[in-house]
Amino acid sequence: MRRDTGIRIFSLGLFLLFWGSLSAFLSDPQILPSPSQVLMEMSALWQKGKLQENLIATGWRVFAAFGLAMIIGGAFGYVMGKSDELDAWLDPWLIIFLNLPALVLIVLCYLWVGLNEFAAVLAVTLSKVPMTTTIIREGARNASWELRDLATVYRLPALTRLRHIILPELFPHIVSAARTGFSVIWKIVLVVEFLGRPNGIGRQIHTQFSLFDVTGVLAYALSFVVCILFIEFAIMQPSEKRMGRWRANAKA
Amino acid sequence: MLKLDLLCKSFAGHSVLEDIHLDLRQGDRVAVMGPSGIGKTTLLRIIAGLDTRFRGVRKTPDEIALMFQNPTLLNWRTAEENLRIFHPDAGEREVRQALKQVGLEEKASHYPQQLSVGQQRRLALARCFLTAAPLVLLDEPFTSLDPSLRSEMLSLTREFLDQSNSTMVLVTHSHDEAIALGARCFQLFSEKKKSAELVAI
Repeated sequence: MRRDTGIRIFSLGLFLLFWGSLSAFLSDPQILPSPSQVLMEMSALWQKGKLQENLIATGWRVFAAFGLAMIIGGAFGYVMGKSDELDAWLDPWLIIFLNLPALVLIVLCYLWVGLNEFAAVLAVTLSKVPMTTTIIREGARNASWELRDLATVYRLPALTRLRHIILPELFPHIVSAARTGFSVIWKIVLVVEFLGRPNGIGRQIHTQFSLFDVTGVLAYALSFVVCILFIEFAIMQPSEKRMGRWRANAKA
Repeated sequence: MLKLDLLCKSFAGHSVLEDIHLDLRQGDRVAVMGPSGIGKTTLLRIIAGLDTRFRGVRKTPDEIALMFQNPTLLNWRTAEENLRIFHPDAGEREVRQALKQVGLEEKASHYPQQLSVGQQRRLALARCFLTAAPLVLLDEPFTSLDPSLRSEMLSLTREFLDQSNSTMVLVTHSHDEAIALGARCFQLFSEKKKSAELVAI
């Protein structure tokens, strides 16, 4: 085991110890339950099937909004980075959307589209698209015009350009957009659910809040955090390493 | 082979190139010379079909090869893949042969950043000449090279040109390079930025 991994595990242990001590000091589960009480609540919710059901509902919204925001924001960012004229046209829109609070977008989407799944995913997507556009636009601006010219002269098909030139050139920016996007989107999804969906972790937190059940709030919230951490370590980081392996090979 | 009747090329209403006429046959080699900023690269981009905003007529073969001053390689692909991606129709033997000719046969699976500057330049040269395109455009490919590498690159380029009988247009500041490649010089003058004469060396 690497030394920094050991430090991380030890640090996590210290956090749990601090939480447990504070809970023992307050000695009121209504205010702050202990880690073991939250764990037992999570286990109970799992056995009832409620945890899985709500995790799946939230997870679906996160992935749908994330995918759409990456595709739409990526496409806009690329064309804006490549065309100064288009950038001049669209930049004011981008600035407006960048500065529009997610909460406003959520409320407006629910008011205009209705309290439905489409409005929920749309609101989250719209909140994230401007950020993705900004990051990818930067990547497209920095892309090599010489490579683009070579691709034109050698008449590379669009798919070959996308696969071998555009995507690898944008890769660091795509990773950056994906990372910031993922960390922001799941938090916005909870707000969307809190305000207007019948299921999902956000809705359950709303319900537990109405019941003043801190243990329930922590059980749902931490379950989702665990899922996000799993995705980060099991999917995001390994794919990043795999896609960027040429850098490691080149350094070798 | 290559016919260019360039009446006018302007940027923001300001004319930069006027009355340039080129009529080259298969195997011709010309060097476009002149001071920096006069429009040599612009002229090359027009010939390459990368700049289409000009008044005049351009006729070139379908297949064109291009090489810049920088190697402009795909850093995320191996040396061999760098050749294959730009020449999908080239066979295994042709790719191997091209790598061998530039002394990179053993480096086929290396990434460009694992190669020296000289090796990167040679790889770019192999990509340029892999399929013996009828028209080869070279945009100052020998600038800022040390003398021995420059001489090696010139000799390899000459070898490739002799093999392929490609028509070559070279943008350069150096008469030596034009001579080494057996090219006729085409001078762009600064006063009116137009071609004055075709000088055979």
